[in-house]
Amino acid sequence: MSAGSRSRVVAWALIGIALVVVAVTVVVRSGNETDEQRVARLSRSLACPVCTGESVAASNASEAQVMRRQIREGVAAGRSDAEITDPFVVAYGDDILLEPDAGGLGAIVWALPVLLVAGGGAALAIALRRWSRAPRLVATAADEELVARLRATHDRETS
Amino acid sequence: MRQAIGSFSLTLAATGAISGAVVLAVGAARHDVRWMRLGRRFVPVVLIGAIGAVAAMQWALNSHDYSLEYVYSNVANATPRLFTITALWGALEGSILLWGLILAIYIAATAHRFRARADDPVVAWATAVQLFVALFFFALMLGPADPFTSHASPITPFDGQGPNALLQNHPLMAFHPPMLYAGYVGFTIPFSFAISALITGRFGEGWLADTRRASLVAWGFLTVGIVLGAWWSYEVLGWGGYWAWDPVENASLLPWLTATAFMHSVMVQERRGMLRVWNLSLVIATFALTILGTFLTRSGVIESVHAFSESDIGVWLLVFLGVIVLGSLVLIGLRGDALRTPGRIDSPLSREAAFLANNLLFAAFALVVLIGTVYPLLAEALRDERVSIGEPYFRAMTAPIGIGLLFLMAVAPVLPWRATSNAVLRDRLLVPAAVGVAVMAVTVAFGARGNAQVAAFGLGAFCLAGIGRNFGVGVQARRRARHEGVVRAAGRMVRGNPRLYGGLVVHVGVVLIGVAIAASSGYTAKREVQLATGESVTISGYTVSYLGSVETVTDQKSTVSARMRVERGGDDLGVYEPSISTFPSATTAIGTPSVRTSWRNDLYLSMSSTEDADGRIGITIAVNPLIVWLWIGGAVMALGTVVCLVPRRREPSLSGAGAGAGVGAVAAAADMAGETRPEDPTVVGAST
Repeated sequence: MSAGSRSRVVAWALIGIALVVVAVTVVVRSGNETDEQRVARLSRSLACPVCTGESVAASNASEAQVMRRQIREGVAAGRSDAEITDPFVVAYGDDILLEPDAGGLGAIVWALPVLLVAGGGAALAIALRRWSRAPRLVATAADEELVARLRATHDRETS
Repeated sequence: MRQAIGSFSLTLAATGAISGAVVLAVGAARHDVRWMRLGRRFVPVVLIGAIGAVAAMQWALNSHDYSLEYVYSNVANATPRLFTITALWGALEGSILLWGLILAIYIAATAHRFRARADDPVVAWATAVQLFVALFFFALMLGPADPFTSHASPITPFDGQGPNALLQNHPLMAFHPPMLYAGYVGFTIPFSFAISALITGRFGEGWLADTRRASLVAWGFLTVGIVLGAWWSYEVLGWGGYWAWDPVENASLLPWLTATAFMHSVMVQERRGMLRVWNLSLVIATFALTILGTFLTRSGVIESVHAFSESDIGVWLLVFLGVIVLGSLVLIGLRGDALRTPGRIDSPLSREAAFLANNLLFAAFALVVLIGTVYPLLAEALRDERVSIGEPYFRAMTAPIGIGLLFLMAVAPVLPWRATSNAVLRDRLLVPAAVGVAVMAVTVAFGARGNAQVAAFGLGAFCLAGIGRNFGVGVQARRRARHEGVVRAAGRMVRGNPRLYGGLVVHVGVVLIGVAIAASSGYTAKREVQLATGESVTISGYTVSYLGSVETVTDQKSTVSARMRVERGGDDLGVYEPSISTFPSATTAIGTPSVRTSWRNDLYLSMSSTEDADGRIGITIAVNPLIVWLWIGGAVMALGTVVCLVPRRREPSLSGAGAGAGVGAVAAAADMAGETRPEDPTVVGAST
């Protein structure tokens, strides 16, 4: 192993270690959500009942302002997510929730894109494997000469 | 008078479009040169008709001709001049009129560009398809979306209703919709050539070369249109965000996603002759999605599935969409076998494999946006069940895809075509990867939280460092080989391969936007408070005090502004005035936020209510990090697109005395262009 490649291995190892440290720090830290972040998240997850296509977070309608205040109070009182959102569902119906239910037919909304990536990725991997097993064509001297000749004519024409 | 001119112009354009489409199709089918040449003559007729109709509408708007329903509904005497002009695209009929004009301009420009190939059936069929699309839109204006309908009452009103309050509040309204439409409509050109390629059976790489510039132009306009739309919503809507994943926004994002996938996959076909069906499908999907977007946003279907039957336009658009999708599928099916290509991909660590991964992610992104937008409609239509899908879904699904795309953007541009060796990878990726990880560590040390955010910062830095290295190595090699100064070397290097370097500039813009999205979606601080005169509130280092309200009344609107003094660290940053306006025509008040922009963050002040009985106003104060980089990123993307459009300049290769240095330059240039170097041990054989 040459000195150059050894220092590269060290460099990659350092990068790897740094990545692990960063990941651990982030995971440890992201466990605790601040009250403000919770209010923001919950108000993004509820539709404004009097608007079209706006969330409680995005709307300036007075209903949305009232709902934001109720969410804030709920968070301050330490209630759980469900305890905060359930009264709204009771009052306005299921479609107040902006996140489709993961059960039932709503599951396709979550599953389809995942299936596409998984299926597409698998298909790609299989195709690549098959391609890499197939014998590669080896250029003969005649091929090389043909390419060189065409290139020369092409360069003359385009320059 | 104006009505007569307008209606006549629309009829002229529609007649020109149908005549031209038929004559061209017959000529192309029979290979009859005279018919094909005659058919082209109708293109200027369509253009003149479209210009005439738009001119008549602008004349009517600016002279307040309230005998026209459209003018009455969208302009008032007190409407400022700018918003009188922009009223053209303030409502459905006018928007379609603008659509028709832009389409006519694209068709005329394309006909002019291909004037020397007027006898070529590929061009004739493409023009016929374009004119057929134009016919649909002009027929729409002669049918259910007539902009020149008379006002219902026999007596002409003295004043109009004025534009929608949200549409007469900000000058960006003058730029955002035309840009967006220039993007949407532009994809008609690559679509028409794709269909033409299928009809003529010449679906090699020719149609790609023919439409490269049109696709780029359309993509650039769409990109700018979307960014301006985000900016408009940030500056006008007052909730502190720029993207709400509402159906109108999603409708503009969908074709952008498939078009961006196409911009990348097209290179695989150019290089390797593969992915023919996929590229045709992407172009057709992009065009179909622009029509689907128009249907979603213009038929009223979003408010309620049952609303769209109230206007005929929804049905028209749906039928047109069906014709496009089915027609294209049939054409591809008929050509099935001939479209197959024998290509292969040699290694997963190659440029083309990376492009395939890129396309998979873009397709998934588009699917997420499409399902999220359409599923509630389907659920209501099919099962009579009301479901909402909003930001939580889109965030959860698109964040990992976005991270994946950032990763590919960092790695793919340095991968050579065909195959790569570990040595090459190490050489090109070690330093950028180290920079990326270092940035991650620094941001975490400064308190960054959230997996997606930290990943976006790190990958963004990885990507920028890779692009910087790309430019640096190329410039360095030229300087050594040709003894040029830095500026000249960089300029000539870009001129030598504008597509590559323009593309990298676009990537820089994407990184800026990605980082800004990550930061603003994770670290926004927001408070909603009630303040009486003299009270203040502190948030993220800014102290905001309420000084009092001022009321101003004009003919257009009456406005209450809250005077807010902003201080940070003892420095007085001035007085900002978020306001609430009431327009005579609108029932609800419209808030206008006031934003203090800086490189690091924006202070966003938005008034939610005027003084109550206790003299307190309601105000939302948000500190949004890095927002300005969204707009800068958009400008950088536009700049990169322009660079891509610069014609390539080939230079004579170095020879003789400089030959030794020349090898280095060639190797470096090959490095940049993603070629595998001649001495690279992994290169095997010639292509099939």
